[in-house]
Amino acid sequence: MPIVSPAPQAARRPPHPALRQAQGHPLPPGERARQAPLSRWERGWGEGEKRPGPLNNLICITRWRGKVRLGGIMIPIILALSLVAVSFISTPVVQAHGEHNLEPFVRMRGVSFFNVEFSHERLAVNETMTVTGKFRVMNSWPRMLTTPELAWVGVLVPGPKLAVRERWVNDRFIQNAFNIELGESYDFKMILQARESGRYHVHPLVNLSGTGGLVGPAKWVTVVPGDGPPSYTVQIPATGETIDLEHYGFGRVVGWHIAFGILGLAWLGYWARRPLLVRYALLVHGVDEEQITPADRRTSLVFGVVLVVLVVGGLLVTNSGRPPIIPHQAARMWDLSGLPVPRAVQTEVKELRYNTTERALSMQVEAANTSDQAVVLRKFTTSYLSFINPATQDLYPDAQGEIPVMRVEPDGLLQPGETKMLTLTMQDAVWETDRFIEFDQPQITAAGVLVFTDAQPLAVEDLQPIMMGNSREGLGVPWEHISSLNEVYSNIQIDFSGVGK
Amino acid sequence: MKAEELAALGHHKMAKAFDIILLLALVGFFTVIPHVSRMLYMGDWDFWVDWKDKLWWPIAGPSAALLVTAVGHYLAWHYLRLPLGATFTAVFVLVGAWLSRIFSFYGLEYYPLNFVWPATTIPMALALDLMLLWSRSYLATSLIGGFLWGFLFYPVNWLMLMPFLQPVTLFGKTFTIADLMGYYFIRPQTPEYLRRIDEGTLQAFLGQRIWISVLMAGITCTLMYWVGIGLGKVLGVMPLRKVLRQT
Repeated sequence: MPIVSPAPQAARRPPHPALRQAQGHPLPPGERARQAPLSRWERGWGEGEKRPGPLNNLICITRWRGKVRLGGIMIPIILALSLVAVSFISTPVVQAHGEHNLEPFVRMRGVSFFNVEFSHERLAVNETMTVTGKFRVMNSWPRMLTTPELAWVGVLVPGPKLAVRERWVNDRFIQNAFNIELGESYDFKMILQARESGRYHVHPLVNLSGTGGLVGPAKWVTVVPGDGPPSYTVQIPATGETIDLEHYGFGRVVGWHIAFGILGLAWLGYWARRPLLVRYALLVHGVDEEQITPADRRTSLVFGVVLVVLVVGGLLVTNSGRPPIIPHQAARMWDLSGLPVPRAVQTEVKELRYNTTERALSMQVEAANTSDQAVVLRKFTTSYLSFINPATQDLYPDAQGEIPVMRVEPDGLLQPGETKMLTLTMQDAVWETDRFIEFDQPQITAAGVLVFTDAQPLAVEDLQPIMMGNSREGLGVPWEHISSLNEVYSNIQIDFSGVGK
Repeated sequence: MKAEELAALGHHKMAKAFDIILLLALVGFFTVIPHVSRMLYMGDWDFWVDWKDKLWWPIAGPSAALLVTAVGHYLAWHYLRLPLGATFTAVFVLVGAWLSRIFSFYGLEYYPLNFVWPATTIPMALALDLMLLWSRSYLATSLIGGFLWGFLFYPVNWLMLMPFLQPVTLFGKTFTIADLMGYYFIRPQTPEYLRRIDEGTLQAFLGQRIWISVLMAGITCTLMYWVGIGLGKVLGVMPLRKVLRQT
């Protein structure tokens, strides 16, 4: 019995209202009488009247319900050709890897990076470079997010163009993720090996469980072709074999894929060489079991035997004399302590203000030097940004003018036991271009770290060439000369004056 | 028209042309759609060799892979009485997966191919088709073929995975070769702590956890087979039946 039921007679569509009007029929209720004459397409063609061929209809302008419409077969062709033509238009290369994508409060109150240093800006394939620095997991962590317990360090590049050969945190080799605590600072070091030539914007990256990746200051690194293709060899202790991680095991993978692929294609070829669609018609006709012949069943047995031999034989061969193996290793490090952080100064934020017209973030901070030596406010750091106090130029002669600076009033040293009300002003478009301060957030806050140093004058060669921002390099004060790291955090008072004028 | 005359029509030039068009359309469809399904449901377990563990991958991998495979398997048998739907899907999803690995993972990102190879399901798909051919019963196929699909997934792919599980040492820490590749070839947005792999459990069964995993995979796939059949019925049979009734 056929499973397809007879098609119901299609209901005739009523003619178009304009045509009915022209034919003298009454208009349906609600339909407006038409004033404009019918177009030729609406009226149709009478007997003996020549209907235009497809070439006459390449592009046509018609009227439909009183409105002018563009039609014709050329319209979709022109659109399609335009799309193809657009794809050939030369466009500038657009590069981005999402360093601004996280919400501002996560980046400012998440992780602040210090003293990030890149050993190279140009290297050849297979050569290595070192990225070092420190990061602080902020105490002002946004509590509406999960408090992170685990972290992982790496670099943000488009794919493994630079591979990470070693990771060290607080001088301990890191195998898997490690524990972190809010308010603690960590020292990191990564050895990167260049794999593919190109120019890359390389950020150090700290991934935090429950949140995602937070990036540090970046540097452009150029990788040029080396003596050979990328290679990373390692010795397997059990067998003494030296392998290259770039290629190891691939031959076996391809071999098994080909073996099983041939078996699958042979099965498909056996069935697909016979007529296909007619089998449906035969099935409807009641021919069911007869479509599978005894020869098919015998052939299927052969395929079954080959399958068993291939799988069981493969397992036997693979297991015989196989080297020792272990499961994937998932042990995390839970005993990592934060760095001892110098704390010679006590600070308290009195006011944090953002001027929208000047794009200036300013803060009033009461700072009390509790140590027995004079200190100076060197910089303010948040996320991957650093603002230098230019008044420290006499102590640390770095590249002023090329790096972001902040105005500190009153400037000068903070003597032992002295308490001062400092006003810091950082005027830079980066607050808005890099989405650090946004007015559509439910929490408009700012956070960062004030870095005080011991005010010992240093020669240029004693300073570190560190990243001060996104692709901005400057000279930094080494960690041993840092006297105090003080976290500051507050809601921002926004000064909208002048915006509405 | 008699059945013999009808069968003879299948050798007509026009019928062959339609067969080729049908095959080409199905190749395109089953290269893309199951691949998307695998990316969504198998995801990282299929992408990276250091995710191919013996607790989660043997269960999540075959269950996800069976979903669309069972659709192809069902439709080929339902409409054409051909026991090739599962194998067809398994072969062409692998073509799609390798194209993705070569042009995207290697071509764009430069991950080595030995780090991102996809799992194969061809042997289990063939077992599924053979079971349906021999039994002519979806129930028997689900109980035996569906179970074999899940049960065999790990052993079949272990043939390729085994060398990557050899231990190596770096700075006093023990890694598998697969772990070291994951350590070395960075995934900035998939940090190590996101890796869903066996971290150890009290249900160790004298260290034979893999048997529990493959048995669980077999049972899961017995059920997942029916989800695939249902999906095939809803997406591939019911709408077409409506169309056929109206013509």
